[in-house]
Amino acid sequence: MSHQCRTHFRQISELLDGELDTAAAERLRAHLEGCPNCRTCWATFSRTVELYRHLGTAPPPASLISDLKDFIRRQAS
Amino acid sequence: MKQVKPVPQDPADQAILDRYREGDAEAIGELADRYASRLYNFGLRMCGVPQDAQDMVQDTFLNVIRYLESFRGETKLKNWLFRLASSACLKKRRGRNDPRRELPLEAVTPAQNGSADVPDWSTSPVRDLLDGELRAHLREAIRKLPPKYRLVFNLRDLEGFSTAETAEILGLTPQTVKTRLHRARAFLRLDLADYFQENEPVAGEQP
Repeated sequence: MSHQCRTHFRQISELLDGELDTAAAERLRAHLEGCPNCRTCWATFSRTVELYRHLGTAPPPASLISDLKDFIRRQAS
Repeated sequence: MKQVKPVPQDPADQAILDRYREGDAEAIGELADRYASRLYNFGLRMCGVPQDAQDMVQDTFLNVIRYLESFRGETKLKNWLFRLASSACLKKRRGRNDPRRELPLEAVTPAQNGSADVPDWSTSPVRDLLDGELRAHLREAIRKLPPKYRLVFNLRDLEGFSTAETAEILGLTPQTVKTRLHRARAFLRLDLADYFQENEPVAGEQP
């Protein structure tokens, strides 16, 4: 990976999050356009984040809230 | 006493706060109804063990009981709860011998000769990829992150807090949040690429 690619790699999270200023975002997009390796990196990077965002939640134990409320009442009394 | 400027609260949280300030003993229980499941999931992703996650939720609410009286609305109540929960998670881990403290950028930067071929897993529909096995793998991979990176990743990408909110919750600068988030994502990307090398996604129907 070239020095330029490494520099751009450090910014791809900010590009993904819309946190780069316009000029930096344009430079990075132009680089991605012309660099197949970085384009692949971008595709897999953004897909990774997307998959994690769709991971969903695990059902908590059925007694979580009732046990917690008992605990809260005991502490309060 | 330092003056704080209250931020607007979610209306349901504001109603709970109002009732708490009026002396309603059930108000904290209502907070448990609203947030315990979410905090449990946050704790589970941080600790990896259901019992530890449940203990973390209890520790968090113990601090709610102790400190809600001094909460002045300087941040959203939800963010304040995640601050308490994050602190409880880190305390839980402190006693453990965890050698993985850092994720050097070099270790998570793509190799010299990356592939120009876009792999199937980055283009297949998410719903086709996210089976039970992959979900279990993703959960396990989160736990491979060193705790301080896991915490930032959890808050930003899984709980949906902004960079500024995460920085406030954890008492970090926004730049530190960005750096840790990027390295965490880069680590998980490499992990996922390895996973899909061994478990190729099922190709969709060809036209």
